[in-house]
Formats: sequence, C-alpha cells, structure tokens
Amino acid sequence: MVEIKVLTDVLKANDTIAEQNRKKFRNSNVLVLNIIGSPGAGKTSLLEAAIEKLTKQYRIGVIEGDVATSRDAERIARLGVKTLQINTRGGCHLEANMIASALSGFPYQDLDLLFIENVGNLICPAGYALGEDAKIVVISVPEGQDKPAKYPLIFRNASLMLLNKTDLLPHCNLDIEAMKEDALGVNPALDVIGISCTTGEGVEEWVAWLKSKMQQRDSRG
Amino acid sequence: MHELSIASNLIDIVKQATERQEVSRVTSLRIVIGEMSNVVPDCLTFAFEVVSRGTLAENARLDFQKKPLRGRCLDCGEEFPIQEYFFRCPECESPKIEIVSGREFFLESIECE
Repeated sequence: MVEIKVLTDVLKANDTIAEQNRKKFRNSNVLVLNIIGSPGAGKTSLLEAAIEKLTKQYRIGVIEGDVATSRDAERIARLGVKTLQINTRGGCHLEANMIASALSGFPYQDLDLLFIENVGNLICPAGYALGEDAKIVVISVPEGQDKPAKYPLIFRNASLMLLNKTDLLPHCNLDIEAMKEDALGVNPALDVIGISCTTGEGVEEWVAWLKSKMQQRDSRG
Repeated sequence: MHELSIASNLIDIVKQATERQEVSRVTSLRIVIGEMSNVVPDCLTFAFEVVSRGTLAENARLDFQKKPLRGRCLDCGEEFPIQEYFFRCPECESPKIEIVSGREFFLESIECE
C-alpha cells in the first residue's frame, strides 16, 4: 500500500481556464457578468430590459446557456446584439471550457459588455467560475422568500440580487424584509434591487447598476 | 448533477498523480470537503462509481474529511464558527467576515497498490 500526496483542488482545471478567459476579457476591456437563477426566474427578460436601455451607449453581447434549444438566443438576437447559444445537452451549469471554446467563434473583442446567462439553476453554477467580473443572482417573487437561506453559496458569491416579478407581490405571501435579511446575512455587501419587467418598476435602478459597473470598467483602464 | 463532472475531474487528477508511479490499482481517495463547497458526498460517491469504471480507480473508496464553515472578523480579528450561513461577527457584529475554512474541495491523497 502506497500513499501519494496529491493536494490538488478538484475544480482547478475549471479555475485555470476561467482565469485564461478572464485575461482575454481584460485584454479587450470587456465587462463580463454571469447571470444565475432558477428556470423561469426571468433572467432573459431582465437582459432584454437592460439591453433595450443600453444598446445605444454600449456594444453588448450575450452568451446563452441552456440544456436545449436556441429560444433564448433568438429572443436576445431580435434586439440586434451579438448572441451565441450554448446547449449543455443535460449539463446543469456552464463551465469555463464551454466559454473558452465559444469565444473562438464569438467576436467578444468588439464588445464593451458581455452577459453570460447561465443554465437555470441556483446550485451548480455557483461553484464554477467562467472568467466573469461579477455574478448576478436572479430570483422571482413566486419562488418564495427562503431562497437566500436555502442556497447560500450563490448569494455569498453574487454582487447583485435582482428580485424579479415584484408586480406579483400582492398575490404571493412573501416578506421582502425577511428575505433581504437572509440575503444580507450571507453577503452583507450584496446589492439588492426589486424589479418587474411587466410594470417597469426597478428597471431604471438595474440599468443604473450596470452603468456604475461600466464606469468601474472604464476607470480600471 | 454537477457531481458527475466533478467525478471526471477526480479521475483526471488521479491519472496525473499516478502517471509516473508503478501503480496497479487505486484503493482509496481522501477528499477534503468544506461545508460550503456545494458538493454532496453521496452523489459524488455514486458518480465516481460510474465514471471510474475501467480506470485504475475502479472500486476505489472515497473517504471524505469534512471541514466546517469558519469565519474571521476583518474588524476585530475574532475567529468563529459560522452557523446557518449567517456572516456576522458574534463579538463586534461586524458584517466584514472572511471565510477561513468551509470552502475547501481538494483531493488530499490517494492510496494505491
């Protein structure tokens, strides 16, 4: 019986590629945001709302991750921005190598802002860096207020929580303050925006948040 | 589901580690796993059984050493266990907490024949 010391991070292969992606993005000065949330939380709708407001000011691209279909990419492409669909064929999250191979055919160098919409899932995507500058977690009112308490890792790692579908608040039993308390308990630095793509509430705030990130990008040079 | 992709990573790491050694069989893997690593040992064990078939590590046992979540206060320096993922210093109530353990997920060692 022989013991071999290994001491290797199991996700190192992914982290190494994520770091290479990050360097590429930095060299082209692209801000990259990784959007994570459950299926149906409204990730694509929130991107549509932001892109409509920002597309004149910035060159925007979107990489869409889904198990199957190119429906989300088709929705985004209608807005006239560069779009690429990755199908994971059963995989529950995007990995850095999927982004790396997607980049070879995607003109990310010509972008100011790249959104990567992850596969709908609050668990697996939280552990896989893609090379992004920040993670955004999207949850929606009908999902209930316990999400930050039940899925802490993504809330710990995110910079912004978008609480979507606030127009449904009158119909749902959800205590926003208790939910925020849970989210800020896991991550006191988390920004929180309540938003509704139906009524437009919070959209300006979401756009302002993105602009502030773009300003940070501009000042990093 | 991501346990399947993690199991493949484990096999790759085992292959690299045994490349230049005279190993006929890997009998066990010692894995350090943090409370906040988002990995479920039972799922990983099952996925590993599937992915390891036909490799040196077929039938190898996975031993997990679990690390509880601990934080350090960046304001007062207090080190403490983080209960229920509540990142607040129990001494000074500061929210500026760095994680000192509980995010680990690495292959520490393997036993071979």
